[in-house]
Amino acid sequence: MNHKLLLIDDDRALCGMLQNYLSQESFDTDAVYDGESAIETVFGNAYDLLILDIMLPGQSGFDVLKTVREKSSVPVLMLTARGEDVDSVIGLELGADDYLAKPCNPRVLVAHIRAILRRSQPDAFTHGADEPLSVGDIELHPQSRTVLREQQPIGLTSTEFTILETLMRNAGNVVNKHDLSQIALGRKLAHFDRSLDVHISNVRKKLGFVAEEHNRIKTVRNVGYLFSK
Amino acid sequence: MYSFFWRIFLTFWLTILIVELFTAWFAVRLSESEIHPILEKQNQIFVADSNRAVAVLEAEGLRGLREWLQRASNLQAIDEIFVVNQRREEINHKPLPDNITDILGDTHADPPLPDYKPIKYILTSKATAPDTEEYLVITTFRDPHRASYLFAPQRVAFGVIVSGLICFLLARYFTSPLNKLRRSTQTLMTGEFNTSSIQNLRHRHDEFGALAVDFEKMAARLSDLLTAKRQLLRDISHELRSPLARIRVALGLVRKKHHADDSDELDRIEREIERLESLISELMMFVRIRSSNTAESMTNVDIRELLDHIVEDAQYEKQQDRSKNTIKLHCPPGIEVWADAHLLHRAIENIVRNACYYSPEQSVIHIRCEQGTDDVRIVVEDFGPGVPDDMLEPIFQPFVRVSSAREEDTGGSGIGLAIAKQVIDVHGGTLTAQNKKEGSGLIVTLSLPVRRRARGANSSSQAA
Repeated sequence: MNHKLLLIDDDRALCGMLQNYLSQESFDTDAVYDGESAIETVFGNAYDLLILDIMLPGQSGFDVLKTVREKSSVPVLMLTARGEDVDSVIGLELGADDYLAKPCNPRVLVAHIRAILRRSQPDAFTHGADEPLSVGDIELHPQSRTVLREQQPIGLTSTEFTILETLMRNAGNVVNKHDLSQIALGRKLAHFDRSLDVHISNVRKKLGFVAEEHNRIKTVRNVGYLFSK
Repeated sequence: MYSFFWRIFLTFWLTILIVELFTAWFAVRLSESEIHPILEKQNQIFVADSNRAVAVLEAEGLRGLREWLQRASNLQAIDEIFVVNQRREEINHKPLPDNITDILGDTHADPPLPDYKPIKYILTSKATAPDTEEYLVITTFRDPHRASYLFAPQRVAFGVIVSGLICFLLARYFTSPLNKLRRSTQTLMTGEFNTSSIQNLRHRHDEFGALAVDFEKMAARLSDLLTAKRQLLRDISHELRSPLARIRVALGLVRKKHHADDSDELDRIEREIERLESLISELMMFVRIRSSNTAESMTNVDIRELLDHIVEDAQYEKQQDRSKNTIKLHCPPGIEVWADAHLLHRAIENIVRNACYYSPEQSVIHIRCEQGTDDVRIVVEDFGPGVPDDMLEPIFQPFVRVSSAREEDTGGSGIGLAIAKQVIDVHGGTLTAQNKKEGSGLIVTLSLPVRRRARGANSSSQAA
């Protein structure tokens, strides 16, 4: 079964060519050209991934992302203008799974799409360990990709889920941030890349704020992160 | 920097002093005829008083004379009085001036006649006290002459000080608006269009006021032009991106269509697209550095850590390359600067890349870091060809190349050093280049000011 993607970009010519390209990579791609119709289409259909350009006429990509995230945890790959680091950080904070600088190499785009889809597929990544994990009041179900805190479900994006899962599997041990980047983002961590930090901070927020010293996910400076038992 | 101030000050002061001097001199000359009757009268009083002093001595003796002298009104025209006994001793042990001792050599000498010239003249009279002791009473004439009055030291000092003060204020009055304008020009040079320092100047209704108004207009115009230039650059870069994005996808489609994954030509096209893209993003960065608010992203940056990363990356890139350069880092640990880590990384990386790029094969690039008292210096030294002396400054301008030959190389974008310069400027530092004195090579020196430790000692902690 082909994955269904939605491309949200105001450059119609580019969308047309990308649809063509992605179809050859066996993706079914729809395209919309503005924020309003994007939100409509997302909520009216079931997509496996959104490719969202930040620069949109009218409602910006950030607005779209915010609205989408209110109701859905569908994976989102964000296209930002190259060099606009601030954009990527804001996007990640709003819950995007990853970002890619535009203009991008279509091959790289496909690689990113596949990486995100792989993470969001329950059966692809769990290494057969389907038993629920439970640390403290947090319960994580790899099979259904759901997280419960005190029996209340928490909505995590697939990247956030993968990060939490990795940390919980290694609870009590430090997970190197380079390894975590490789697993959760599917790429090498570059200097000054704050993507991982932003994702971690999102996860912390969603797990509920606790005082720094009791934080479930601890930062080990210059090394990585630790989920405390 | 005060030369104009001092020139005005000294010129005015000297002029005033000379004028004062001449005025005084003329005053003396002109008033001599008028002073004649005054002298005449003074002389009569002098002679009368001298005679009375002698009479007092003869009638009442030394004690009487002393009492008489107590009354100052008796000494209006007498400057000094000496009473000498027969042993030629002054009775009050006053030292005798030379001219009086001369007179005493010949007691019968006639007293010199007053000639109304500004010299003191002396009257000598013999007197016999009631105790038959003989005395010589010598009186000197108190000269009411103007010259000594006008040129009295305290008067001269007063004139010098007052005229000096006036000239000082005057010179300051002239130069202070100039200095204000100069300060404004200096802020303008740093790229800040803030004319607040000449705010008060604008309200003056003289040439300086007009100049200030013009200056402000000029600053506003410059600011507009620069903003427009940046905006244009930004817009162009932005507009170039859309077609580039389409070209990229189109290229991907071509590869798919023709199953041409290893076509040299297509690879070449892809490489050139990548170059264009990196050029555009560098341009965007260049435009943005100044307008971005770096204050928020400032942290204490460990230079050693930063340089380690840069060297690591550069070495890694060199492995793919054939030039086989080595980079030697000499940096003591623990040096910190207050900076935007990302931008600073970018700046130093660009300098190091540039050094690597122009280095001959298998040579060494030295990176040294040293902590000064008020700055941290990072020196990047290569063994490349260096640059002509007249190019040492322009190389920090965008797209300035030392020779056209290099343009052919698939090297940097041409704005790497300009970005570095921009970043260092924003941090209040300096970036300079110089050629090696011995042998060939370029030395790029980056100096960053040391800020007193800002609040938040653990500002380097990552917000995770």
